[in-house]
Amino acid sequence: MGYSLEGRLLEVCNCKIACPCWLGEDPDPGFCWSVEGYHIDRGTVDALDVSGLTMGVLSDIPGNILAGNHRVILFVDGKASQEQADALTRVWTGKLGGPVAEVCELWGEVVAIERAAISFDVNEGEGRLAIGTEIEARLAPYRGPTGEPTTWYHTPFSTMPGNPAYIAKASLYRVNDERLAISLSLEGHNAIQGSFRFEAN
Amino acid sequence: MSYTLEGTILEVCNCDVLCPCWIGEDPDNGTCDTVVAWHVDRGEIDGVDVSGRTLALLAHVPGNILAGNWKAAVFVDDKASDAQTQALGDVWTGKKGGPVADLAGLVGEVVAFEKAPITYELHEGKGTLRIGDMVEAEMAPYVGATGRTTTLNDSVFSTVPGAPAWVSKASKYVRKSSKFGLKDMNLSGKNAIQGEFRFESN
Repeated sequence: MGYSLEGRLLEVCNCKIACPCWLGEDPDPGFCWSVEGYHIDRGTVDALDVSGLTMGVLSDIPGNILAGNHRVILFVDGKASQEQADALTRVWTGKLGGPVAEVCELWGEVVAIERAAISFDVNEGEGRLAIGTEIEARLAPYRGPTGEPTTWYHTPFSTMPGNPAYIAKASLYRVNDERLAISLSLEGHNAIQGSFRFEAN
Repeated sequence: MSYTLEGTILEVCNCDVLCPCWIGEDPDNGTCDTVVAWHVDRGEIDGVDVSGRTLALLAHVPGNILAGNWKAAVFVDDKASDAQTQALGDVWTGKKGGPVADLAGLVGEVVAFEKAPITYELHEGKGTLRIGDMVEAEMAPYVGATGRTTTLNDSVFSTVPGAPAWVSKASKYVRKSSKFGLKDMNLSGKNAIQGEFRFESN
């Protein structure tokens, strides 16, 4: 029993650039409508290989992200086999404990868990995330004078010490979801890509 | 007409954490009321050693920081000799060219150039800045899960490639500057960032 998951995390939301939630501060508008994609580059759940799959989370966060009570919808990668989908669902509903279960504790209500076609094509803060037809984000990182992408290290949300989070701007962030009553189409808002390593035994 | 200056910069302002200006975006409030201090750890200007000196700006930035037209009061720490004060003033008014002249080009109006006692006690985003009885700021950095200080790297304002800027929160930001036509500030929980600088001009 357990999991070992390593990959890239993308978070896009309606905050301004450099989302304060990454520092544990309140979101810019007071609440946050956020989409997260966890792309597993390498990983197993209960010995089952789940490499290459993505989990998506659409969240309605009523205040400070650490205060919880998020209402969420979980999207399981349509490419997953039934067995893989069940395994990922066990992880992302907290049933296998560990760091992902701590994230789940911030959720007041899981409104739905469903399969969706997920495209996660994001590297170093640049690329595109699409979940189904109603969630889409395109982003590019800020850069310093030498052309290197602007990064954060050691934020309160970093799960991999020493790994950067890329500070990006979403040229497009589009969501339509009646269940969470989220409808938005934004340009120039926050996108941050980090990396994750989650382990539980 | 040459200088080599190395040290740390502290910027505290009325933006939320993290100040968008560091990545070239507009300030949170549309305008920015800031104090920026450069503490020279090692440096010389045309043969004048200015190591240990601090120069600070109290500024109003009317919009995007890179769009210029800042209104600024400039202070050199009162331990500076006349030669050091002159040299620092020449660099920070752009007379000696180089990267600091680019910065000086953002200032549209200098409303004061004075000496003042300056306390610059800051390390990795933690500590105190005091300028006479006009400015007092206290700050502490964010820390990650392992206790390491949160840093911003390769931002558009980085002058030392690869060097981190420490992302902090000012528990206190007091600025009494209305006599210079610059709004008074008395804030808590706003942005503070400390970074490193290296300026060279030949």
